[in-house]
Amino acid sequence: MAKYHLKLYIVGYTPVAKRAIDNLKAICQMPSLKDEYQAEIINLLEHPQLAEDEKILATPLLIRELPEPIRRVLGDLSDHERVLVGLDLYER
Amino acid sequence: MDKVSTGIVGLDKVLGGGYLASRPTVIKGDPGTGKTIYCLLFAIEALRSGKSVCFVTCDESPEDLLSNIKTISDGLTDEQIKNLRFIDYRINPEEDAIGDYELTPLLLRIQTSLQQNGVVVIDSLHTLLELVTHSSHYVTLQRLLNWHKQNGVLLLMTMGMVPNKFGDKFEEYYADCVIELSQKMKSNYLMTRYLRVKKMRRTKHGTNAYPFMLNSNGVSLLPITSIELDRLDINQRQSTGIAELDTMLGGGYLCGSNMLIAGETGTAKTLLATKMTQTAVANGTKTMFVSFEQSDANLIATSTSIGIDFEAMIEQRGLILKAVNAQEMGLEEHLIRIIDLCEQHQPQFVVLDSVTSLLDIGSAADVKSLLSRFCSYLTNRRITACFVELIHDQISDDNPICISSLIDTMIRLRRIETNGEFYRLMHVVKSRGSATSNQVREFYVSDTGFRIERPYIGEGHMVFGSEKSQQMILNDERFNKLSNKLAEINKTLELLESYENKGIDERLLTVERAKIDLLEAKYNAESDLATIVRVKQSNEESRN
Repeated sequence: MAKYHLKLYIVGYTPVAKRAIDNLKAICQMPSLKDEYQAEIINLLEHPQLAEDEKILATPLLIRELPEPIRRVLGDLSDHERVLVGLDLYER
Repeated sequence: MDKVSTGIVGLDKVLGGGYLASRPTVIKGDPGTGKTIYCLLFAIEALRSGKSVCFVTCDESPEDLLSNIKTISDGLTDEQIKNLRFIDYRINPEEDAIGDYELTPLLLRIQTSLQQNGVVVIDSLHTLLELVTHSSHYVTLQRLLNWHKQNGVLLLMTMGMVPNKFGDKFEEYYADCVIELSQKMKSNYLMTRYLRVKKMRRTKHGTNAYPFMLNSNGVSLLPITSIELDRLDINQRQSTGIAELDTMLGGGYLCGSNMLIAGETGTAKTLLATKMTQTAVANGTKTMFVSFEQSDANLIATSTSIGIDFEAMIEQRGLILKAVNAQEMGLEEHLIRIIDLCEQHQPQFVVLDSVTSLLDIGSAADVKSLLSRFCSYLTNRRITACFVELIHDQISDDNPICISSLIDTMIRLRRIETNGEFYRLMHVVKSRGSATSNQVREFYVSDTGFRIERPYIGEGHMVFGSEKSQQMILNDERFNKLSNKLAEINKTLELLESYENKGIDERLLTVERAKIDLLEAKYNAESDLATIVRVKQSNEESRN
């Protein structure tokens, strides 16, 4: 069972969205996450209701659903370190 | 252009029907000026008329807004509330932004939430702009506005007055209608709210700053400056309740006219207004008596002092009594509140006692402007008005406020001091559309009401009070004396004639003549004495 459940919400495959996807892939290869994650990319154009459900203000939005508490990080995820901090993924 | 009601009666009038049906409108204002309330009122009205509302909230929680709506509105049905969808767009402080992002979800969420025949409200745009960090975001917002325009969806947005990050007035150029709300401090402590339509494409709109009030029902906005003057129906007259006064006015006062009762302190102005109120109510005319000077209890006591029962009239709903503290609010608020009361109770006769109290909270020019707008409103509604004004000058009829030009009928009350006593005098200064008496009449007020005295002329001019009583006695005496003298002369003549006929002795004749002279002198003395006694008596009476 994967330890971390991550969801990346985008609205269409825009350049910013593509950057976020690439960055997410890179982050998932990092030592803290490797082999312990489960990530999903959700295109809100296909599932518009989710935008409302998750109260999404802007995309790309990366949400760490498990383990709790839920963490959200907004943006193209260009600063990997900060993303890890934002997702509270540093193990001590 | 099609318009959609704003939910505020006065604003609909200013905008010529309401907001533009398929265009963006922006309401701008500093914090606390009421923007969100305007949005809520619009949402309520839209729901009532069967539309669906998509409310994007960036500041307040959907729960708070919903509870506000339920408080303000007059009961929306559950069906209607179902058509209300909130989009919670509050910025989450926990959400860190790392790198570029796009604001496309907003439009997506609106598009998803929007139902048939829907309107969109965004409160507030300036909070939304916190998320705007570079020009691509701006482009997204422009796309949002364009989408609404292209699809004919009404968009109502609120905006702060602070210039946004990018310097240009983004929303003003994109919105077809811009409304500005403001708060002005009129004096040290009184605040008045104003609304101004800065622009509205393709519409003729009111351009002034209109004062408004926020109250429990929403917004009271009265664009009274745009009311046209409608003229009086000359034929309907009402009695004041005092027959003599009705005659002086040429048959009573005209329905729908404005009256002014002016006088110095203690000249019975309030009592006269009270009397007119009683008569109006007794004739079935619903009356509203607004007092800036006395409390409800005082007014009731005052009316009782001349035998009028205000309490009974209030109970039977013929009379509405409102005691208002002039200092409580600004001039505009007073006007709005009084007009709200008129709309609520629909009186046909309104008394304001006294307009002079309003000088405590505004300059003479301001008060005059307020009264002229009020008179406009009253004339338009065919409501008869009676204003009471305190005058300081005994002689002149005009005064600090100078509203006599707005007035159709003016009654002047005076107290004159002469020879150590006061007379109460009343006269009609003017009465448009009527033939009026030019006399100054003395009157008395007692616990049975008003009594206007008949005019009395003594020694070639009008006299009043005790001088009048004295004159009356003197005149009566003179009349008696003269008629007696006449009788005497007649008698003497008869006697002489009879002598002539009989041919009597000369000496007897002279004795008789002397006798007559003496009798006359005696009579004169007696009657003078009697006069003095009578004057003394009447003085004692009037002293009591």
